[in-house]
Amino acid sequence: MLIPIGIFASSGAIAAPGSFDLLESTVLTGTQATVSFTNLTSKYAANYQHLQVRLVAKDNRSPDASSRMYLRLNGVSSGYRWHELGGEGSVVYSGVGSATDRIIFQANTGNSGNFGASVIDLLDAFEANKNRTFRIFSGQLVSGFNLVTLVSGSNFSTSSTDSLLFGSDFGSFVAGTRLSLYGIKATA
Amino acid sequence: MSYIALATTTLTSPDAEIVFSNIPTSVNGVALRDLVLVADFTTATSSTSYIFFNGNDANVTSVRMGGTGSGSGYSDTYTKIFISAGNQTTGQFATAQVFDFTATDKHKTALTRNGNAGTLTQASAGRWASTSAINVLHIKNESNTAFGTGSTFSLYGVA
Repeated sequence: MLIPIGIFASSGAIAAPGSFDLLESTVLTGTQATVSFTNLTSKYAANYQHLQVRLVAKDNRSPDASSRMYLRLNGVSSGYRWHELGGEGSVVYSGVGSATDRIIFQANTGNSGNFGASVIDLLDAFEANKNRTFRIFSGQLVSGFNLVTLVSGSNFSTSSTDSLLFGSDFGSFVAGTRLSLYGIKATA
Repeated sequence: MSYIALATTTLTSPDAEIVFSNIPTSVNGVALRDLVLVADFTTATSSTSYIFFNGNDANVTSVRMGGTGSGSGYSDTYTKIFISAGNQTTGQFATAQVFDFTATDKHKTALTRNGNAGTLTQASAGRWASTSAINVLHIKNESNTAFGTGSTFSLYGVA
């Protein structure tokens, strides 16, 4: 069945405005060690319940399975716990993250044009009665180091999410790396 | 307005291939970055379903992991971007996210989740090693078995 879309499909509809909104986005034009979203509470807490970051990234290491990215909340470098479930193409593994100063997930180190992808969900990002909880779905396809991973992490703090910092654990993000921050409302 | 429904179809008769064509790069001035496919479908026989782009199913690498409810799970690699596995005759649900689909300086990476409550749950990552912008998305399965009447496929664009 061929479904031509054109500008709008005959059955297409515009999502309710303001329910899932692109808040900020950055595409690197050069090498950069970290990328941050800041002042989130003052900018978004009044209107949004949850946050999502969609990340298309590559770092500048040679292809290496141990290359990783990390996430820090509010500049805090303690109180993190995370678990990982992953598939490497022949083995499924799971583990408890040993680092407590950040949440670690997989990074992509592919050749030119080969970027990995991650979706990071932070539910109830601004509520003061809950610890911050993250869900990360990530994948990279690099010869010899193909990975798909699910990470669940938390920072044991009830402080409102005010900043998110993403970094490459062993190198720097390269040009073309994109991080987009979205807000999701509790009601339309 | 950042998560936009582009098109949806529910089959009124079996069909072996679903094609979303002329995928826009923007809607009402809003540039789209990612595509999200949501599918709920059956097939007449068990066969792995997959997606590919612009009529070209070559140059694809994917890795998946899954669990069937027994044992320690499985992982393997493949040359197609999965959206299903196992028994599809009783119904599969699947989501596939395709990132930076309009970029002409990046390969196209996808993350997929799928499952069948009676069989398995699975996650995969796939890459089409092409810097071509995606304007057509295809859905097929390996044995060319038709998707069943009532199967629904919906495509969204994410700004």
